[in-house]
Amino acid sequence: MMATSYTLLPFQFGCFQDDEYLIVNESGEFLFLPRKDVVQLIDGTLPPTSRFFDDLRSKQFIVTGDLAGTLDMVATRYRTRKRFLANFTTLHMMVLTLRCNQDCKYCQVSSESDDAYDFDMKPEVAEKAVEIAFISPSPVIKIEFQGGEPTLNWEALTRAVMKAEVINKRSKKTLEFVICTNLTNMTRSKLEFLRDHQVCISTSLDGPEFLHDNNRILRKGGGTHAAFIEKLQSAISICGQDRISALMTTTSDNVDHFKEVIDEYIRLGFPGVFFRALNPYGLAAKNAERLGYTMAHFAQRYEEALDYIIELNLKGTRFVEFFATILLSRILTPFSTGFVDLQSPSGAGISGVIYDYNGDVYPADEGRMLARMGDRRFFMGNIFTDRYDAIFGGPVLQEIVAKSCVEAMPGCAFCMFRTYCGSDPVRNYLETGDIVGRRPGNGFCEKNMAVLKILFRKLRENDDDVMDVFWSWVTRRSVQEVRNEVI
Amino acid sequence: MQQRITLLANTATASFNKEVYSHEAVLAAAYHLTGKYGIEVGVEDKDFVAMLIPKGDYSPTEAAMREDLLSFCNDVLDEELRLKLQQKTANLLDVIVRHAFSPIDLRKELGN
Repeated sequence: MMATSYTLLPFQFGCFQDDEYLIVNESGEFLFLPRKDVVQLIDGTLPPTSRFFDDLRSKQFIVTGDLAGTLDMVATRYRTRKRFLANFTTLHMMVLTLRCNQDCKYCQVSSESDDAYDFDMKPEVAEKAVEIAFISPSPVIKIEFQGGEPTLNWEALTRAVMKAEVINKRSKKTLEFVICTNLTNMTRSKLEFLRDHQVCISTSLDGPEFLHDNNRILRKGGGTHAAFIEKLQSAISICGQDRISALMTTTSDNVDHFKEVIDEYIRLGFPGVFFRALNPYGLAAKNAERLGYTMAHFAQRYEEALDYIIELNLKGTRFVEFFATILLSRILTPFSTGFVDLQSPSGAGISGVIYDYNGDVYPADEGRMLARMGDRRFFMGNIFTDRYDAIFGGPVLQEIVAKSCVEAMPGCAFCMFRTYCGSDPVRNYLETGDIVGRRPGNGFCEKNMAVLKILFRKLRENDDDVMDVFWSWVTRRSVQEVRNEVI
Repeated sequence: MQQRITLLANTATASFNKEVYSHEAVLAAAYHLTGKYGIEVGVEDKDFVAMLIPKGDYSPTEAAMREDLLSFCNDVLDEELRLKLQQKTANLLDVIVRHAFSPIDLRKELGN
């Protein structure tokens, strides 16, 4: 067959199902087509009469006219997708203490008992960390207080908040605070402080009592669900429902009960859920045999849960699955989502950074965890002994950036999902001893591939109702608004 | 024959004619199976030969091994296609990334 006159632009492809292939390009555009058409497309012999030709042209897989103009458009979309790089570090996490009043069976951070005061961040360390955070060129500074249980070191928290507010009078950045708390140590006065300083609350909820109390237990013994509910009600009444979000951790206990988890989240007024898989750190790794599950099992339950959530939305209950929303935003729009855990290059250090209780800086909490286990591979510096540019421009971060671009990583570079995905260098290092890591047999890759396949199956089906729900999540509107049914 | 597969004593072997297949494509396809198999890719006469031995924690039935091997053969075909695509578009990908991060004169770059 005679070659047709089109210029082929770069894309990734893979077998999606049977003989149907998925192709995805640098703009983030995608198309399903049979393998024989992919072969023709790449050979340069796809005829203009092909039913795919116009779609391929409009989605920038091929160019028949102005090559420079099309490349300009693709490059603009590529730059937009990588927009998170321009701002540099936005998220600054501070480990206020390693002490915790809970002893959760999957704790990833190796918390200490509630009287281990040596592991508290001193207020002057907290203030210095805030000063360092404000050197970041990012116009948005989000300070996240973590632990242990950060409410156990209240003085450091309040000093950090007030220091940040003072600095920001000069800096005039968008300043946000988040406290990651189990809520069980919360008091009315603490909640009032959080309300007065607009500190958002991120808490943990694994489902109704019979699921939550399996793993989220007090150090002195006993479940936490009842106390959690009581404190949650206070938090809602003082701070407002919209300032409170929750994360759930999937274990073998709740993986078969996602429906009950969703119902509990809705009952308590949460706008959505993030089905977070277990990560191989701390007690989660130690207790993996009891708490773990296969990724295939997780994916199967995730899909069932997603279907249930979609059904709820169609019946009038707005509720979001946040991981799906992040991925759908990447698939359906050209915008950068800023999700630190799934970026290329990795968001570790360049999007988010963590300050340990003693002022040591790590690109991610998992890097800090490794240091606690004796491996200081990801130590970036200390806020008292190192300058900002030495910490954030040093060899640790440079190596992470250089080795965490999925565009150049084995097993990722030619993956059909590469445009929407990212890397986890610290986890790679933990599992293989190498930042680049290996994809085959890798749980992080397996989970992302499985969830992306579920979403793309639904996108391929293109059911009007499901797409309305997806667009309502991506655009943060109701299904009725998406359908233009609001009067 | 351009491609042969054999299953023998818990070892799967696939041979690819060197005149038809490239070493890069066979290696790239082999990488995808390294989670389940130890893989050796060598050269025998006119063929690239890939030998797959299940890893300790993977005990496939003969049917599953055959399935893996056939999937591997299809992967090699896809990898050949990827190499062809890469040859045709690598320069443009470089231009897109360079332009995205440091705007350049596209018409000058493209010589028109």
